Amino acid sequence: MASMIYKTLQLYLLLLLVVRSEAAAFVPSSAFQIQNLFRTVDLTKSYLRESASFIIENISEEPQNEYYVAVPSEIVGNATDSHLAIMEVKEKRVDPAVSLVVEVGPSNTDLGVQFYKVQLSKPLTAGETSTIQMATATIGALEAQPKLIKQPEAQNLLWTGSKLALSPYKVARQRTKVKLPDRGANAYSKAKNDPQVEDTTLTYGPYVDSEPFATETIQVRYEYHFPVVEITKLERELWVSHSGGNLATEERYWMTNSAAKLSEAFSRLRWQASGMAGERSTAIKGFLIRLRPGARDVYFTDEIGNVSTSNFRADIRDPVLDFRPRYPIFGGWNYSFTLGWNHDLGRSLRVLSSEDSGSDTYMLRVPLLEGPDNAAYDVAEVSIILPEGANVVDIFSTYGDFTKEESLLKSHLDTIGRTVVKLTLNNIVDEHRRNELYITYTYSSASSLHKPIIVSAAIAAIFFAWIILGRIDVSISK
Amino acid sequence: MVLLPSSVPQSAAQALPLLKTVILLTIAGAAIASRLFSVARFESIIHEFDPWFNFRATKYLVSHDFYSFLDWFDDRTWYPLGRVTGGTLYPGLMVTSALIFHTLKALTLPVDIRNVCVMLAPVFSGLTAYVTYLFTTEMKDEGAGLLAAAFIGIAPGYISRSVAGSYDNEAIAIFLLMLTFYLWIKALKLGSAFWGALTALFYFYMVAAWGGYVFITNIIPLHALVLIIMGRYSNRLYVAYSSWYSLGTLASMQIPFVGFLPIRSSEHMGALGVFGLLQLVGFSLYIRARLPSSQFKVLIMVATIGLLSFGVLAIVGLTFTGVIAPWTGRFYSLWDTGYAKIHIPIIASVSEHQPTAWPSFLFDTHMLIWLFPAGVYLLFQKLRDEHVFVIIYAILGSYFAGVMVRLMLTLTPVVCVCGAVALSTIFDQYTNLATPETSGEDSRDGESNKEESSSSLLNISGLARAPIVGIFSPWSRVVVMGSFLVYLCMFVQHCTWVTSNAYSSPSVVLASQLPDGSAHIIDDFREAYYWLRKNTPEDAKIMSWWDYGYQIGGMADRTTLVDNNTWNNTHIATVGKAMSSREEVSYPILRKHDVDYILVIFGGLIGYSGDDMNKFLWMVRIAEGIWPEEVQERNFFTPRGEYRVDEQATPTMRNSMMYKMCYYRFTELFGRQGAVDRVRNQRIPSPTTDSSATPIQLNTVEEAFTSENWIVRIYKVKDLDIFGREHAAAMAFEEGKKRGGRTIRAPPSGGHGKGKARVLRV
Repeated sequence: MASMIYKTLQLYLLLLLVVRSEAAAFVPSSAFQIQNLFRTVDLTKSYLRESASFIIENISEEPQNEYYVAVPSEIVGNATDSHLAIMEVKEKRVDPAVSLVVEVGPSNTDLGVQFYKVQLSKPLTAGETSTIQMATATIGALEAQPKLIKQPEAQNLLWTGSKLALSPYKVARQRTKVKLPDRGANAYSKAKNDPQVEDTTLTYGPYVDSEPFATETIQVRYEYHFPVVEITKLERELWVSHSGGNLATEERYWMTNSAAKLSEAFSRLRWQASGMAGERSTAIKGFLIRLRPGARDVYFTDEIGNVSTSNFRADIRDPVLDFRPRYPIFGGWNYSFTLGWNHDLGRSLRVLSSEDSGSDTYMLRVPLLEGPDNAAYDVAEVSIILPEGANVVDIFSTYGDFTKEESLLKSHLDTIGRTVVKLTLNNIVDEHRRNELYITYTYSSASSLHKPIIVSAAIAAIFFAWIILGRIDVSISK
Repeated sequence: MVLLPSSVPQSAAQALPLLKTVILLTIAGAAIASRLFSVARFESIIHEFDPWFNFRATKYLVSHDFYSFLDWFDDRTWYPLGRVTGGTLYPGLMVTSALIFHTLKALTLPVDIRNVCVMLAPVFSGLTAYVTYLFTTEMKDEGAGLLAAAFIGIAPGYISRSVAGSYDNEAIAIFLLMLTFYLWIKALKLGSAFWGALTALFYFYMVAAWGGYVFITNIIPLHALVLIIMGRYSNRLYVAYSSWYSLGTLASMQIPFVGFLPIRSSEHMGALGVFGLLQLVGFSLYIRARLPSSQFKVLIMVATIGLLSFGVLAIVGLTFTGVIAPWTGRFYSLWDTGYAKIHIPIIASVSEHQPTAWPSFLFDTHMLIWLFPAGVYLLFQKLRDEHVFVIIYAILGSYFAGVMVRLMLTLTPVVCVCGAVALSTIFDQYTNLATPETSGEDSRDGESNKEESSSSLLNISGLARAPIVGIFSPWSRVVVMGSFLVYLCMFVQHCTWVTSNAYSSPSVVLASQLPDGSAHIIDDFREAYYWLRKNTPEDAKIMSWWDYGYQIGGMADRTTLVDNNTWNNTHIATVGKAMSSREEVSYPILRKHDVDYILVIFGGLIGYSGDDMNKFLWMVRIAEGIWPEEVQERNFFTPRGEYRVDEQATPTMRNSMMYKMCYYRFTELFGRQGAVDRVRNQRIPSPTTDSSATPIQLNTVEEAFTSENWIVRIYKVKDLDIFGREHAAAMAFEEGKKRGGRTIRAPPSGGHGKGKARVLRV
C-alpha cells in the first residue's frame, strides 16, 4: 500500500516537473503595445478593488485574436491568505461593450506571474486599436497596521502594491489613481511631484514607456474604521417546489472579521459607551440585507436557535432583513448563522415550452447571491434543488467561473430523489450579487402526481394489512 | 357524556366508539396544544438545565451507534476526571427520540433532532392522556376514564414537567408509569402471564427512562402484599406478579446504570421479599389441599417462623457485610426532610428538592385536590383489587409529594384518576334523567337490559324492590350540575393560566417588557455561550458553578469542570473554594485544573435574581464541607448576621473571586448617582461617589466577555507571568509604568508569595 502511494507520488511529481518546466518559460509574444493605461486602486471597500482601462494596439504584422493579462501568482488560488476575486474583461470596440471570455493561462514562475488568456471579440488587424476595461478584486490583500488595536482606537489598513500596472506588454503611458475612504491617507510612498494629492485620492504618474513586467512598490496607509467582513464559507440552497408554488432560500454563513484584533480583552462598558456616542467601530454590529420583493417567512438562526437580536421589516416592495449577530464581531472573532425565506415561485419561473406529452420546459431565474454588502467570500456553494423528477437541460450564469456538480437528494417523502445542481464558486465578492443564474429544466405533470400516488398507496397498504392481520386468529386455544 | 348509553337510541350507541375516539383525540390535541406556549412565545428551544444534557446525549446517540453510546466516556465534562456518561444515564429518553428521528429520516422527512426533542414531551403527554383513560376505565367506567384523560391532559402538576422543550426523563416517564400500572391491573384482573409479561416489558422501558422506576418497584409489591394480608391471594395474583417480577427484574438489569442494583440495593428488596412470600403462600395453599388441617397448622407455624427469621437475618446480614447496598442519601431525605440539609448540601441546594408548601397543591391540581379524597373514599366503597392499588398509590403519592416539590409529578396522575372517579360519580347521580314515576315502564326496562352498561340505570330498574334513593328534584340537579360546570371551567382557566405564566419559560431566554409595553427578549445566556463556542479554542476549559455545566456543554460546546450531574461533591467543593477564596488562593487551583475561562452569572444590572451572588452561600457551604478551616460561611456575613455586598460587606466577601468578578468595573456604568445592585438593592462602593472606595482590581484573571445586560461575565485566566512574578506585583509594575514612572508600591502579599509560586511550577 505504502509503496503504491509512493509510486503514485513519484509519478505525480514527475508530471508536475514537466508541466512546470514548460510553463516557467512562457512569455507572451510582444504583439501588442498599450497606448494609454488608466488604473484605479479602490480602497474604499473591505477588499481591494482594481480596475484598469487601456488601449491596446496590434504592433505585429498578423491579426491577433488572443491577448494576455498578467496577475501576480501569489494572489491566485487558495494557497495563500489573499486571493483574486473578479476577472472581468470588457472590450469597447463594439457597441455595447461585450464581456470577453477569459481562460486561465500558463504561469511563469521566474517572473512570479499567472497569465490569463483573453479572447478578443474579433481579430485585431495589424495597427488596429481597441479599448479594454478590466476589473479585479483581491480578498485579504489589505492588512491592518498595527495588527492589534485598542477597542475604541481607529484602524489603519496598509495597501502594498505597484505604481506601475503589471503588464506583459510595453506601456506607452500610464497613471494610477488610488481612491481612499473619507478620511484620506495618513502615510503614503512619495517621490518628487508624485503623487498628486486630492481630498481622498492619490494620483501616481503619468509614467511613460514602461517595460513589460516592470513594477515599483508603493505603500498607502489609511484609516479604515469599518469591519472587514470575510465569509469563509457560504452554503446557499434554493428549493423549487412546483406543488407549493414556492421558492425557498436558505443560506448558511461562516463569517469572520479580518479587521485588526483587540489588543486588550473586550470591554462591554467601553462598547456601550462608544455605542451611545455613535462612534465607528471595526466590529460587525450587523448588516441590512435587501431581499427581493415578496420575500416572506423570514428566519434567522444559528447553531443554538433563533437570533433574537435580529429583525425583519416585512415590506412587500422592499423587504429588509436587519441581521444582528448575538454579539459584536470584533477583529479575529467568528460567527456562523443561517438565514432563510420564501418567495412565490411564479416570480422567478417561466414556462419555455409545453408539450403534449405533458413534459414542460421551465426556466428559473435567480440571483447568484443575496447577502451583505461589502463582504468577500472565500467559497460559496450555490445549490438548486429541483422538484422530484425534473431533468436539468442547461445552466447559465453571467458569472462564468464555477464548477458544477449534479446529485440526487431524498427529502419530503421522496422515492426517486430530486435533482440537485451544486455550483461551487471560489473567491467572490458582494458585487457578484448582480449576476444571475438561469437554469432550464424539464418537468412533467406525471412527475408531480408521482408522490401523492406513492403516499396514498403506502397508506392504503398499511390499512389493508391492518384489516387482514386483525382478522387472523392467533389464539392457542378456544 | 357519561349517561349517553341509557338515553340514546341503538344507532347512536353504535356511533359511541367514534365519539369516544373523537373525544380522546381532542383531549390529546388539547394536551399537546397547551404545552406549546413557550414555542409560540419564544421559539423551539430546549429549556432549563438537565434537558440540555439530554439533548447533547441524544445528538451523540444520533451521530454514533448505540453501543458506542453505551460505552461513551465523556472527557468534556468534569475535567480532568471525565464522566462515564454511557454507564451513568438512563438511556430511554435518548433512545426514544433517536428512534423517532431515524424513522422520520427513513421516510426522508427533513426534521431537526432539536425539534424532535422539543416536541417529545407534548406528544407523550397526549399518549399519557390515553393511557390514563384506559387505567381509569378499569377503575370505574369509560365516562370516568374520559374525565381522567382530560384532567391529566391539562393538570399543571404534570404540565410543569412536560411543556415543549422540557426534554427531561419525566417527559416519557409519566406515560410509562401509567402504562405499566394499567398493564399490571390488567394482568392482575385476568391472571394472564401475557399481560404480566407486557407489564414487565414496559417496566423495563420505565427503568431505562427514569430513576423514579423505584416507585413502581415498590408499589406493585406493596399492592401484592396488601392483597395477601387482606386474604385476597389468588392464582391470578400469583401469575401476574411472578411473571412481572421475574421478567421485569431480569430486563431491568440490562440497563448499565442499574446493573445488579435489583439484587443488591435495599430499595429493591421489598419486591424480592414479596416474590418469595408469594411462592410460600402459593406452596402452602398447594400443601393445604393435600394435608389434614392439624398437621398443616403445625407445618405452617414452623415454616413461617423459620423462614421469616431466616429472611430478615439474611437481609440484615447482607446489608452489614455490604453485599446489599444501604439506602442512598436521596432516599433518606424522603423519610427525613432535614437529612439533606445537614449531610448533603448539594441535594438541599436544589430548589426542587425542598418540601412542598401547601399552596402548591392547589396551584398544581386546583379543584382536583379536594375531589381527590372523595374519589379515594368512593374507591373504598367498592374496594376491588384494583381499587386497593389506587388507594396505596394515593397514600404513597401524597406523602412523597409533601416531602419534595418535584414529586408532585407522581401524585398528579392519581389525583386525576380519583378526581375523575368522584366527579363522574356525581355526574352519574345528577344527570340521571330517570325519575321513580317513569321508571316502571317496560319499554325502558327492555332497553336498559339490552344496554346493561350503566350501573345507575340498573339501580333504577331495581326500584320496585329497593327503597327509593336518588336525586329527583330538578333544582338540586341544576344547582349541583351548574356549579360543577362552573368549577370545570375555572379548572381549565386556572390550568391555562398556570401553564402560561409559571411553566412556559425556557429560562435560557428571559422575557421582559420595554417601557412602551412591547415584548423584549433578554438573550444574554446564548450570546455568551455562542461567543464561547465561536471564539475560544475547542479544548478550552470553562469553570462555572455547576448549574451552568450542562448549558455550557450543550450551547457553548466546551469542556466544563462541574455540571448538574453532581456526582463528585469534592470537585464541586473545589470550584466553590476557587470562587469564594482570595485571588492568591484561587489561582493555584485554577492552574491545577487547567482552567482557561471562568464564567459567572451576574444579575445586578437588570435585576435577574437567579444569579451567582445569590447562590454564593451554597458555594461557600459546600466548600466549607470539605475545607472547614479555609472557607467559613460566617466570614461572609456581617457581624450583625446580614448578607451584604455594599460598603458593609466583610473583607472576606470583598476579596472573594466571585464578588470581584461580579462587580468588576460595575460601578463605572453609573455616574455620580452611585452604583446600585438591583437584585440585592444595595449600593456598591464606587470611587466616583465615595473617596474611600477603591476600584476592584483583578490580577490573575482578565475580563474576556460580558453580555449585553451583564448577566454573563466571562474572565480569562492569565498565564503565569513571564518573569515569574506574582500577578499582583506584575500588575502594579505595569500600572506604575503607565502612570509615568511613579514609585511602584506592590500591595502586601501576605506571606504566601514564594511558597505558592513554587507550588505553581510543579
